[in-house]
Amino acid sequence: MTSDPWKLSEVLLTLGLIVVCFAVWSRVPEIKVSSKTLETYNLSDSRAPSWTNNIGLTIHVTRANEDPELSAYRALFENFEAYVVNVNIAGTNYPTMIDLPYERMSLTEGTANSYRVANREVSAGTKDPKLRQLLETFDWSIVNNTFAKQGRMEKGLLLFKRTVSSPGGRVVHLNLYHHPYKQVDLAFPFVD
Amino acid sequence: MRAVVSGESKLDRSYEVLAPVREGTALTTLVARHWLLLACTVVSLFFTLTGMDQAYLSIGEANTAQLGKNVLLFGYPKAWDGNFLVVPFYDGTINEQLAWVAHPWLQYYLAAGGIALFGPTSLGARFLFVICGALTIVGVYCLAKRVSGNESVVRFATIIFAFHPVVWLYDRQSRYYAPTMLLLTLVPLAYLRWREKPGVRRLLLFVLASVLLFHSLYTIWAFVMAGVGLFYLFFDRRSQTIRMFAAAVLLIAILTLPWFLYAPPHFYFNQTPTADGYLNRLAVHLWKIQTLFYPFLTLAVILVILRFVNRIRSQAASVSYVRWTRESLLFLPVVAYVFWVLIYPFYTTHYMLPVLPFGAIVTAHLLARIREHQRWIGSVTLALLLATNVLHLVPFIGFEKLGVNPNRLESFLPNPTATMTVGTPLSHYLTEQLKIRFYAFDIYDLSRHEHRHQLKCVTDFLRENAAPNQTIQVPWNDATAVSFYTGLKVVYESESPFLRNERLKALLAKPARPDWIVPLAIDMPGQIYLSDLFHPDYEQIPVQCPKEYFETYPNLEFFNFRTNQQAPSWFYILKKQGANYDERSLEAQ
Repeated sequence: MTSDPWKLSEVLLTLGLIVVCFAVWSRVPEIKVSSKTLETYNLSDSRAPSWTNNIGLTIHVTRANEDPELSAYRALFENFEAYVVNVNIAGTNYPTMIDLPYERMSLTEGTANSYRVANREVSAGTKDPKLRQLLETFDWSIVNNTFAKQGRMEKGLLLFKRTVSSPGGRVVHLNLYHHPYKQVDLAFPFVD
Repeated sequence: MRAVVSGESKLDRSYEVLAPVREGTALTTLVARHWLLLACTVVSLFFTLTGMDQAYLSIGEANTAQLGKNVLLFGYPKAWDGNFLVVPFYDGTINEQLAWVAHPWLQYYLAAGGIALFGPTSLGARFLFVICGALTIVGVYCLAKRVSGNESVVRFATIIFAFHPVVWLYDRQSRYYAPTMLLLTLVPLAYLRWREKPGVRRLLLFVLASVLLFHSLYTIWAFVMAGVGLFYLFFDRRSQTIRMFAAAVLLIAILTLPWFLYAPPHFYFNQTPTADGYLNRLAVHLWKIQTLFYPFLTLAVILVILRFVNRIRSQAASVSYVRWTRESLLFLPVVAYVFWVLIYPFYTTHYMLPVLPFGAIVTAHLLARIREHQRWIGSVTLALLLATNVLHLVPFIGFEKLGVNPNRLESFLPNPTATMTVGTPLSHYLTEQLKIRFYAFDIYDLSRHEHRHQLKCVTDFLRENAAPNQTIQVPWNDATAVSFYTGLKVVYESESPFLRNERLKALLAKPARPDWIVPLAIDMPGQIYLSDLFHPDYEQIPVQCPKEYFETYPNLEFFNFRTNQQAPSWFYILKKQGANYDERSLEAQ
């Protein structure tokens, strides 16, 4: 057996560096290497702003009263700021699993007013199954199953209770969780 | 660099700085000689045994645990206990006697032993696997001594393996991982002991270790046996021993191969081996080894640079005492296994598991060589290796910082975090997933804080709210775990194209309206739960707990060490409203 005795200095250097790493970890448990991102907004169409992660997930937001499929609910839209969120998951070899929790969505108007979604209240009071589905779609995760490769599309309706309507722009805020990678805050601006 | 070449009698000199050996009893002498091994084993046991209940049993673990429970009832891993059918993946998983034949049985008896000691808990299911993990440290220590003959390599290998976060994670799972790693070290050790001093007892130990390895993971067993056999034929064949060795081979064959008659090999989800995509899988798994197991490439580059620097400094070439012995050829079967197993079209990290014990010794060898050139670089390298994944990620960090177009690299540098299916593109890995982590400290953190995750919350909720006579429908991936922890009547979606056996289908039959449904759209599209087919009959109960899909997934790249605050903070459990409904009409609907 050959050996080369360890010196105290090299042992202390190793232990010291491990302590330094522990100190770094206790403040920052993980350090993201890149400052870049693949994610991009497309705001060129002011009536349908969109966001994509460029690996198969695209989210469009439009005003609900411009959606011909929802013309039956025009009367409802009179009482709310209504938007349609279209989630498009492209067919790929890897799973895309996302959540869009309603409680993390909001609408801001100008700089002061912020409204929460009223979907749950409206859904609880409706007997229209189609409307209920549109209002609760995002309570159910949008999953491209691990073993499936086909794409899929989900459409959800967001209702924000209008209080004082003021002129100017509005921004729909969504909070996306892309399992298991990251949480993303999204903002879709609309101008009158 | 000064090195001491010593026989056993002079071995003590190597400990002059760290552990002066004092004369004393046999025990104190043993402790003094092997203090590093003991310390590493104790610390590793602390990390693997504490916080056992923080992450509940993932799908494969839960199957092992439930089958272990059934071993205590029936004497063998029966998949059906009269109440619950352990989740099968394909037709051949369960035979006509309802015995689980998808995997060899050693792991189920280990689970049964732990459950007999500690009851049907996470600790019970995992306990003996943790013990196997601790014993593997001893195995690595002894094997490193045999193949390196160098004290630094032995110490580095022991430390690197004992403090490896992936090893910790695998050791604390009720799966074949820890016993396989243990037996992978014991088989060559037993063989080397026998060839050193051939005798029946030593040969029987080799036979025992080999047979147990087969019954833990027979794919790697085949390679190890071939490797040992070739090693004997090329280097150790003697007329005095050949009969003994042949007898051992025959005995091993008798105690292993009939298993294939009882349980013909099948493929997970009926996916058969294929050459299509082999090179991609090979690239992914080799990078998995680099990024998650051992940074062989980075260490080799550091070593080459040091040698180059020494050369241009015109320093006299020093004699290296870190050498490979012929016995290290016994590692080659693992290399062959890595290249062979990837004909199977899956991307799971734990297929590379046999690399872990041998990889520790190879890494130790590289580190000892680095240290021979520069002690302080050796110290820094060891610290980074133990505390961070920086060295593992160097190639990816380099390409990211150089701004090379990821599309040009993808063919030989794919995203190494692919699991089950191909991973997201390299560009996504570099920009979103590439993070410097401190996994050893993360695991320390896991043992200190309460970790809330979906499976744990579902189990707690059902324990409090479901009655023993009620039926609970659970997504198939969590069904066995919920059954194991709660003992309730659990059913799951059985419309699998992989299940054609009518008897199994009958056992899997579930009521049209279970009393409880734990819905996850991974089983069914959410629209089904929202439609009139379900909605009117069920109350939606929000459970305050992170909603996630990779909660206790056992591979390091997706493991949640702490409560996930980014995922949605609640999910629904559905409760059937009332009992007065007509199941036949619902079925007709």
